[in-house]
Formats: sequence, C-alpha cells, structure tokens
Amino acid sequence: MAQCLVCKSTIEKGQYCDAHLIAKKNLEEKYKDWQTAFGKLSWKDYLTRMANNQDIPIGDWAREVADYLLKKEK
Amino acid sequence: MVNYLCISEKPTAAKRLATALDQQGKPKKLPNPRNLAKVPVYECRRNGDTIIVIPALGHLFSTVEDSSRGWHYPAFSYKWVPSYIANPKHGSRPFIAAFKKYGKDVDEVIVATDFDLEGEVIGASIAKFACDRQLTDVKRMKFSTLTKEDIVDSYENLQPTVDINLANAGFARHEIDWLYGINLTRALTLSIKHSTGRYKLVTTGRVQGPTLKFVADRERDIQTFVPIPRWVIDAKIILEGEEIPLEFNKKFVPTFAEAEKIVSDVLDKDGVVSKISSREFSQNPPLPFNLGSLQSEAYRYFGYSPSRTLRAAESLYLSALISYPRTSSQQFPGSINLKAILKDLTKNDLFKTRANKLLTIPKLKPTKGKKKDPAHPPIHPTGKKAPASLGGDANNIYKLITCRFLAIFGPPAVKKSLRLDIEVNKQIFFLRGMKVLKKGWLEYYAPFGKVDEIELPDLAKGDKVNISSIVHKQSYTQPPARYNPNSLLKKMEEEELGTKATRASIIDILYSRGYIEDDSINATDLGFAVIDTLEKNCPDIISVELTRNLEKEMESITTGDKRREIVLMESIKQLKKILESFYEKEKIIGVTLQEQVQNLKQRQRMLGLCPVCKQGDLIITRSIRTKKRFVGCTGYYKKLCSWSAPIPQAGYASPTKNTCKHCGFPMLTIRKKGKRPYTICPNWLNCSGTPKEVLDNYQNNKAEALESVIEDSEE
Ligand SMILES: [Zn+2]
Ligand SMILES: [Zn+2]
Ligand SMILES: [Zn+2]
Repeated sequence: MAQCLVCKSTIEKGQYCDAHLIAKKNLEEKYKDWQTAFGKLSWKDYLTRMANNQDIPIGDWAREVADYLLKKEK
Repeated sequence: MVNYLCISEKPTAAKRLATALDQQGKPKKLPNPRNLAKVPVYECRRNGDTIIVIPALGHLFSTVEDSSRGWHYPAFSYKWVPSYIANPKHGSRPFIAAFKKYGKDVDEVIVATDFDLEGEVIGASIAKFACDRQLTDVKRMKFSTLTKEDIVDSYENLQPTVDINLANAGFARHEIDWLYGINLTRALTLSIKHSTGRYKLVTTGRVQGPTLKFVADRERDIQTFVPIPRWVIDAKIILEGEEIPLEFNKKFVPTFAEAEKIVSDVLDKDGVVSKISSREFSQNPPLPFNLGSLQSEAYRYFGYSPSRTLRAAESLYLSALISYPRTSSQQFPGSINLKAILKDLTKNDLFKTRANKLLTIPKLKPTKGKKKDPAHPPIHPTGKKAPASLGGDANNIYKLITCRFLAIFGPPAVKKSLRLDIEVNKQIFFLRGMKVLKKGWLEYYAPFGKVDEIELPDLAKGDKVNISSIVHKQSYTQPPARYNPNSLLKKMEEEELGTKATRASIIDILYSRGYIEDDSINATDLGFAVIDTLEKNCPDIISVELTRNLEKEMESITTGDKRREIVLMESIKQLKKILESFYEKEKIIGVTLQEQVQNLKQRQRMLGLCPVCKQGDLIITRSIRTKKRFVGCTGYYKKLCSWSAPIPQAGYASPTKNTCKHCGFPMLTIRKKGKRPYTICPNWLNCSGTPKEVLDNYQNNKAEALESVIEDSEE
C-alpha cells in the first residue's frame, strides 16, 4: 500500500490518488496553452500562479497538485 | 339500482369527486365506527344509484421481504402487504379497513385515482387486495381535471376495466425498485461489515446510483479543472456625455501579444461607423407545458426546485384549477374545448383582455410539440375561477400556466436585431440593438418571456466617434457549472432515467441521504466514496445504460409489448449478475469504501506540515476522551511531537491553503450557520497576530472566544 504524495490518502500503487492524478495530467496538459498565451512562461512561474493566484478559477484538487509540485521544486 | 364503490387517490380529491357525483351536490358523510374515524366516507346518489367514495392515502399496499432469513442478500422473494405492515408509521390501517368494510357489499368497484402509473397501482392494489376483485372486473373513471364536468363525464363513460397493462407496469416497477434497493443497500452495507467489522448503513437504489454519478462526475471535472488564459478587449465611446461600452469583434483574444497589439492599434485613434446592419426574424409561440417544461420555466422565473413546482401544481390540480400536472404531452387532443376555457378565463380580470383578444381569432390553433402522452393532455388551466385567497407558490404557478396557455395560441413575435460596426485602425468593434416589431405571443405570455429592447445611438455610416478608453482584461476559461436541482432533473430526463413522477423525489432522496448537498449541487464525501468505489469494482450498479434499458423494458409492459413476468425475470437476471460480481469483490469493496470515507475525512482535516517538528502534519481532530475538537500533530502517534491547541467547537472546520502571516502555521476556516466564515491560526495562543482581547477572554480553555473577537475585527 502506498500514499498519495499530495493528500496522503491510501492508494494501491503509484504516487497519486485518482483525483490528484487526473488533476496533475490536466495541469501538465494545459501548460502548453499557457506558454502560447503568454509567449513564455517557466514551469515554476506557471506552478506559482496556479498555486497562489486566487483569481484563477482552477479546481481545488489541481491547485493542491500545483502547490505540492511547487514545494518540490523549491 | 346499482351500488358502486369509488376509490379515490386522496382525501381532497375524494371530496371533489363526491360533490360532483352527487346529484344535489351534497354527498352524505357516513358515520364511521371509531377505528375508521379518520377516513372520510361519502355517499352519493345519482340516477337512483348509490356511489360510496373513499380516499386512499397514497399507496396502501407495498412490497416486503417474504423470508425469515434476516438481513442477507440476495433477497429475491417478496410479497405485497398493507403498507402499515411494511412501515408501522404508515397510517394506512383504517383506510384499508374502510375499503374492506364497504367493498364487500357493493355491486361494482370503480378506480378513480389519478390516471397514471402510480394511480393505477394505488387503485388496482386496493381493488385486488382490500376489495378482493379481479382487475378485469374493476371499472375505471378516467379524467384529466377535477372539474365537475370532467368528473361526471368520466363517470357516465366508465372504462370497462382498469388499464391492466399500466397497472402491471406499475406493479413491476415497484417490485423491481424494491429488489434493487434492498439488495444493493444490503450488499454495500454488508461489504463494510464483513471486511472491517464496522456497521455503517449505505443505502442506494436503482436510479439513485446513476443519478449520483452525474453529480460526482461533474464535481470531479470541476475539482481537476485547469483553465486556459484569454483576454477580453474592453473599449468605450462617449456619446452625448454618456459612456457606452463596445463589443470587440472577437469575444476572447487568445494571446497576450495579440491583446497588446489591439490596444496599441486603437489607442488615441478615432473610430468611424463603418456599417449598420439589421436582421428581422420571427419567433414562434412556445409549446404547451408538460411537467418538465413547467418545472424548468418555474425554476427560471421563480427559482423553484422541481419538487416545489410539482407540489404547487398538484395543489392547483386538487383545487380543479389546472389539469393533471404529471404529463409529458405537448399536444392537445381534439376532445378538449379550448375555446370554452378561454371564455371562462375572460371572467378573470387578469386574463380578460388577452382571452377576449384571442377569441376574436377565427381559427384558434394551439402550438404542438413532439411529445405525446396517451393518458393526459398538456398542463392547462380549467378556466375555473381562482379564489382570491390563492397565494404563494400556487398563485405564481397558476399565473405561469395560464399565461403559457394563452401564449400558445398567439401569432409569432417579430424581432429586429441591429448591429452598428465601428472601425478603428482596422480593428472592428460593434454595438448591438434589439427591437420587438410585433409582440405576437409575447403579449399573451407577459410578464413572462420579457425581452429587453436595446436602442442603438443615433449614428450614421461615416460618422466619427471618439474612443474614450481601451484596455485588455485578463479572463480565463471557466469550469463546467454544477448541477442545480432543475438541470439535474433535465439530465435525468435526457438520459431517460426514472419517470416524470419519480425524478424529483429521487433527487430529494439523494439530499436526505447525505450524498449531495447545496442548491448548486455538490457530491458529499460519502457520495464520492460510494461512486468511486463502485466505479472501480462494480460499475454495473451505477451504469446509466443498464438503468435506461430497464426503464425501457418496464415501458414495454405499459404498451403491452412485454409481459410483466418476463420483464421481472429479466431484471432479476441482471440484478443477479450484478450481485455475483459484487460478491466476488465484496471484501475489496468493503475495505475501499471504508478507506475512501476515511481518506476523504482525513484529507478534509489535514492543515499541512507541522512547523514545530517539521515531520508530522497538523490535523483537525477530536479527543477520544472529551470528544472535543482540537488541532494536533500526526507526529504525536509516532511520539515525535506533542504540539496541540484548542479551537472553537461549533461550526464546520476546514483547512485553508494559506499560512498565518505572523507565525507561519497553516490556518483553518470555521463556517457556522448564519455567520460569516472566519479564519483562525491554530497557533493563536502563541501567535503575535491574535488580538489581545481574545487572550483576555480566553478562560476555561474555551477557544470559542476566538469567534466573537475575530468576527468583529473582520468587519
Ligand atoms: Zn491525492
Ligand atoms: Zn509536530
Ligand atoms: Zn499565527
């Protein structure tokens, strides 16, 4: 048995629970769109916005992943 | 001289029936022995015949398990018994006794319940189980309104039998829903008990599961949503001292660079009116109301939930003001005298002018939709005068139904949409206008269906305009909207789950069982846990497709294409397959379900890393001894850290994603009904950010002191 890196819930295998796994995938997929939209945007800046900018209508689970990944970057 | 017993659906309807059927309009209320004292029994005289009218109280009979094996599954044997045996709180006992007493001696039994699936089951089960009649010998009164004319007419044209196919479909639906409900609920509950030893009742039903899945799926989409940025161009012009916002040719601009360019192109430039165009179009009158469209329009105008609208409509039906509301029909049959209804409506001041105007149209023709319902016409007013005392929901719904009824005869409305283009350095902006040229049916539907007319400013092609401001604004793609009770009901309708009679109550059940919450519907932790677990281990239970197929099978009993027994056997076969696959995974389902509930609880409670030991996590938890809530560190269990602090006991405490700017502790928010939510630092006893008054007020270890002061300081 393992634990989700983000929420610590018990999972059978892997690193993320289902919810956070989907959120992580979405976060990674949309990065390209954000780069296009802004011309350039580093992965870290992207995560910072996602984790901290309250104006961005990002889902809670996705924000939790961004927050986790950002802390890992640091 | 014939003696009839007439079975009515409920007491209010019984009184109406009796008053209409008695030739003098004065039915005799028969004195009853004490055990039947609660049951109104009316005796009517008509053409030398006697008619006894007795109401039911909803379903007087229902299914219970026919086995002494106790709480087990599969449970496939059942029997029909009086509802007070299935549920001791059900007040059916005196009603059944009354039907038994009077049913013995009469020559004929007439079912006069609402003509639909439920009504047929209510009537047929009483005729069969209480009055001991063969369904083929039971007569049927069929009516769509409770007006005197319709009641008398249906009595004079009695149907030779009840609708046996419809009754069978109703019986089958009850049996199948019972089978699914009891087996699935027991399977889920026992899976937890067998694998963890804990008892937690987890209920579900045939249609509840798939409906809950819609909500859970939507919530997952929202919670994992990541938006894409975009920009809105915000420009204004000044005309005659008034600032008017312009729309940009593109609603959204996809990149920052493009947004910047547009702004710099336009900045300090003048605009020219480059084009004025208009388009006329006509809009046909709306379709007659069926239950679904009434519910959705009532939500739109009054914010009523579907079940609230249905309740109001039902009371209007019982007052004989409108026709039977549980209908899906959008087509008026030729048998209804629509002109007569309009004539009656002229007696009501509110509708007088409109009804009179319609009556001048030589060939009145209502609109007609695709949906049919052999049992009832679209919802319409009966024309009977509404009492002045009609108020609240009923009054609103009555007006809506009547205005809609008037509108369906009206001519098309003609509107003109206008567009004025303004070009600024090759960038195109525009203003929109809207004008109603011919009111048509809109006049009849008012105050509903109101259109906001927008006038265009007085400008001609080639005129110069001054752009007073131009900026770009950051925007984002938006997550999908949550369901509300109305859109969830529509979704069920689209997916063909449940029936028009059951959908609203299934949504109510999901609320009352704690699977969904709020008006903007969100799945609760428990709701998520159930859907998650079943999706992974036994998806058939929540399969929309299987549920829909079964609905269709049941429908085929109504149409006479399939026999009740066959459909019942097929549904048991399907249920058996589900239960077998469930049983195979019972252990894992039980463990997962328990774990999911636990996980979600934990996730909800976890605040974040403990700043004291930097290893454990701070969680909101409860003392086993005092049952008091406090914040502690998970390091405690590993004997690493003993940090803990009291927090207020009342309200719902949840983590925020922020840390305290004074001491760095992860914070929590407390939501208490009727109060503004407030955020506190769990380290408040030692945090420099805590107002002094809180610490002064903090006595007897009561963290409640935080509540008052922090609320004040937020103002
Ligand atoms: Zn997780
Ligand atoms: Zn600690
Ligand atoms: Zn603090």
